[in-house]
Amino acid sequence: MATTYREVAYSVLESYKKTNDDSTVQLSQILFYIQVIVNRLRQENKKDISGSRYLTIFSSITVETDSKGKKYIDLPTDIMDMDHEKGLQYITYNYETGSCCTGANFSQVQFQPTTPAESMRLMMDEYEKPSSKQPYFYRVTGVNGCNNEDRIYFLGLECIDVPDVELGLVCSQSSSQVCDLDDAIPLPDWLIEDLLVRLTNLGRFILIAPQERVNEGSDLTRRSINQVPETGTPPPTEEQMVAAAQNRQSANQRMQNQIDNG
Amino acid sequence: MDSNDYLSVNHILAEVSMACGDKDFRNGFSKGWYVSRIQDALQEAALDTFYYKITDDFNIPANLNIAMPDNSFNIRMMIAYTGDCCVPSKSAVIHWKRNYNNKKKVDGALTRHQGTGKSNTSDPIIPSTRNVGNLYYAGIQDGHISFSPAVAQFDKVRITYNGMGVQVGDTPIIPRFFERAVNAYVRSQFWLAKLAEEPRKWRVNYTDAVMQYEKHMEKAKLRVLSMNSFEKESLNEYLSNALHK
Repeated sequence: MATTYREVAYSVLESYKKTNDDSTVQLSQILFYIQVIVNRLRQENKKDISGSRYLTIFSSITVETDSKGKKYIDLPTDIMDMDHEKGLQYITYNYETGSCCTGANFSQVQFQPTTPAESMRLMMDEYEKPSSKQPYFYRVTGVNGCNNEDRIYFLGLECIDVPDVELGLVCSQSSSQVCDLDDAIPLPDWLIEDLLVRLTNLGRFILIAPQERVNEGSDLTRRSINQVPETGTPPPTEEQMVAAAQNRQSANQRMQNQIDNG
Repeated sequence: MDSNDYLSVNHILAEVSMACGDKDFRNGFSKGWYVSRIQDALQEAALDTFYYKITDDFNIPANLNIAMPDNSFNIRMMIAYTGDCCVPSKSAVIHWKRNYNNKKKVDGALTRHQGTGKSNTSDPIIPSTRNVGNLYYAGIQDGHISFSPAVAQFDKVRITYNGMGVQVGDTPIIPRFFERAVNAYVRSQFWLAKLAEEPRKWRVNYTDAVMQYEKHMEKAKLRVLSMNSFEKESLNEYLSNALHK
């Protein structure tokens, strides 16, 4: 049984309250922290987590054509950003039928990742040139402005009509994706410990932060130096000065008497 | 080449991608890049071993000058013929003639040994050779084959030559006995490309791959040289009969 959001969230909430019983951290905040840390842990451990472990398949995504005739699809969800677009595990279509959902498996064509700059080199090699049998894709995050589009353009499909493609994606975790607290956290069990530690650390930091910003009226500017303030000796009062002079005079008198008496 | 057993490109790709740690082709190298290197490997093997022999027929043009076929090198034999090849009465073997070049001219040609002219009559070393207008010869320069005027009486020429593999862009045809050499070549090129990114990290891999390639290429050459037992045994039989008569 995989660990659920409920188990982790309430466990961490309990820990927070033990150290800060007046904390007002909400469950929704904890869930947000979980999602943030899950993304981070998955990214850090991508070599140990098989690419297909969190594969999500979209069996038919419609291929659009832009005003310049370039074919593209809009990604249906956020994906993990990984080297060589490994967050996009595969994009296929059927070469024989032009559709992703029919035809024999052997005739399925997989798209390969590239970038617009790298595609120039591809055009130079007869064997690498984009074609309908050897198509490529590149990712675009803005169209006519930095508008956070998440779009995949295709190279090699210029001369054929492809209605749709099949996608295999490794989705990233969005805070709004937690619909049920009893859903399993999308992380291998051996990383749950790391998740708990990081959540606790994050909480400790977050709970301390507001305290740091409170103005208590005390001057803490030299606090970091950790020194005891030095206080100078106050100047002597007039009475003290007279008393000191009298003492010196009587001491001199005693010495004179001793000399006179031999 | 005494072999009719070939491997698919995918067979090579399956092993190479594993050996290079690029099982999903997501290491910055496209599948086409690997296929291109396979073709390069076969080209190297062809140039080193002459394993690839091709025979093809061509029309003899009016200017008696044809370009060598695509992907060819090293012409081995030419026979001019009319009708069906190669009825003795209607065909002739074309011989090589040094420096012969009829480019832009059919009747005359640039050659040290003039076949039909009188220009060399006073040359004591290489005199004119008369009455050789019906000889069939050719010269090869700059990728063009120049035929002698007498070849014009034939319609076609059959040429046997060595090839460098398939046309660049076509699917490579991989003889089975080159499997190891092709694998090793692609791997060496993979690590060479990686070397450009991180020289210190990948130098050992590259050196190992090159050593493997050299070893397997030598083996492949030996294999090609050891083949053709049919021809060798026939030749042995012929020579031994001649010697013992």
